[in-house]
Parts: sequence; C-alpha cells; structure tokens
Amino acid sequence: MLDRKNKIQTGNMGGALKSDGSEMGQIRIHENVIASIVRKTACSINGVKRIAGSHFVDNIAEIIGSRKIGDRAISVNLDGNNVSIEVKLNLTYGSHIPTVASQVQSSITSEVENITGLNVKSVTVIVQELEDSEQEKEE
Amino acid sequence: MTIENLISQLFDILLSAKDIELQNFKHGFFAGVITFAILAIILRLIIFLFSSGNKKSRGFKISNESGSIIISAQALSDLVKGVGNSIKNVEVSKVKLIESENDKNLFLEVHLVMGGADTKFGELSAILQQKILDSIKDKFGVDCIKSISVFIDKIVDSKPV
Repeated sequence: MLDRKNKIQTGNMGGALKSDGSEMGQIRIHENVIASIVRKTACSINGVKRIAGSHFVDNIAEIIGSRKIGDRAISVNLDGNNVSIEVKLNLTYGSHIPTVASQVQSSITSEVENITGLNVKSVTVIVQELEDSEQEKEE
Repeated sequence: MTIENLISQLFDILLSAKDIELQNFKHGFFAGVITFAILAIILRLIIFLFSSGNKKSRGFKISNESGSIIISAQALSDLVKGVGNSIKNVEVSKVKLIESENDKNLFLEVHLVMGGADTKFGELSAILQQKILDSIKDKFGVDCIKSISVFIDKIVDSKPV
C-alpha cells in the first residue's frame, strides 16, 4: 500500500496551481476547475436563477475562446494555497437576497475546500439581476 | 547646457526680437501659451463641476465573514420595478441609484408612467416610496437608501401595461 503523500503547494503557475515536492509527482488544479465547482454549487442553491451574463455574448465568447458559458462571470484568484472567488449571479425575484447569497458563499467555500483542499479566503457574490418566472418563460 | 538655460535663452531671443518674422512668431507663441492656459483652466473647471455632487452608483456592498455580497444597481432596479408594477395604475420606467460624493449616501430616483384619470399622484407616490423602502429592507436586509425621489414622466389615460 502506498503511504506517500501529495501536497498541494502554493503558487500560481500559468493559471494553474502547481503541486510538487512529493514523491508521487505533482497535482495541478486549474482555475477553470475551481470555476466549474463554483458554477455547479451556485446553481444548485435554491433562489439562484443562473450565472449572470448575456447568453448571446457568452455563446460568441464560447465559439471564439475556450471559456465555457458562465465561467466569464466567475473569477478565481489564486494566492498560494488561498483562493478568492468572485461570482456574478442572477437570483430569483422574491427571494431573501442576504440568505441566498450567504448560502452560496458557505456552499462554495465548503465544496471548493472539500474537493481541492485549498483554503477559500473569500467569496464575493455579486447579485447582478433579479429574475422572475415570467422572464424564464420568455426565454 | 541644461534645459532651463535653453528655455531662458529662447525667451531672451523672443523678448528682444526686432525682426518682423521673429516678432510674428513671438506673438503667435505667446498667444498659444495664453490659449493653452485658458483651456487648461476651463478643463479644470469642467472636471470640478462634473466630479462634485452626485454620481450614478453601480450598487452597494454588504460585507460578512465569508467575503462580501454586492447588490448591483440592476438588481435593485429589478426589485423596484417589481414593487412598482404590483401597484395599480403605476409602471416603473426607469430606476437610478445615486451616490452622494460627500457623504456616500445612496438615493433612488424612480421614474414612473401613471395611468387612470382619477389617480391621486401624491398618495400613490407615497405608497410606492414606502413599499420600495420596506421591500429593500425585507429582501436585501439593508437600510441604506436615504431617500426615494419619484418622477412622474408620463400620464396615460388607461392603466399602463
């Protein structure tokens, strides 16, 4: 049985976290991985309508670039073993914003820390728009 | 030779100029300097006038231990429109969040289209103001809006859609 440990090291190597100094090798966690976790976690919270942004602009951005829809509204800043996250969201009209936003913050913090082992320093939730069910039907 | 010496020499030549072409150049040069100075003063005044007073705010921030929650002006506008449109004979056409430059207080400007000939505008505006304040406190959990100014932009005969 292997008892060698991998350690996630501090540092940002070209948009990815570099891990080395272990006998087994390196673990690199890209910022996009963290953005994906953030996207999935945020969208699973009751009261969150969707990640903010224009579908039209995002579709064009996806065709031109490599970033997935919604990831443009998520920014991840890596500082060593610490990560600061900023996410722009559209929430459901009528929901209690501080409650939903706090749930988003705590869920993102626990999910990112559990999955990546990184320390989440701060989660900034930007409530971009409030959408109701009528807007959903129109779309 | 330093730049200061060069400039002082240039000024000496210009001030002691007797040649007609050099004198013309001198007049043009000083006219240019004076024009530049006047334009700079005007630009400074314009910047001062536009930078003082109130400006449009992009939202407000609520800090907590996990980070911060920023509520955008658009989200606030969505809430105000929802509240306004729930009132009979009222349609909110535009919402502006204004931030005071001096004390950083936030104000709301709500533009309305009102319908119905028998509508009491003052009464309706007061109801709307109170409902908006209550709604912001209830849904955003903050009490940061100092005042709400209601502008009735248009009055239509029938109830606005």
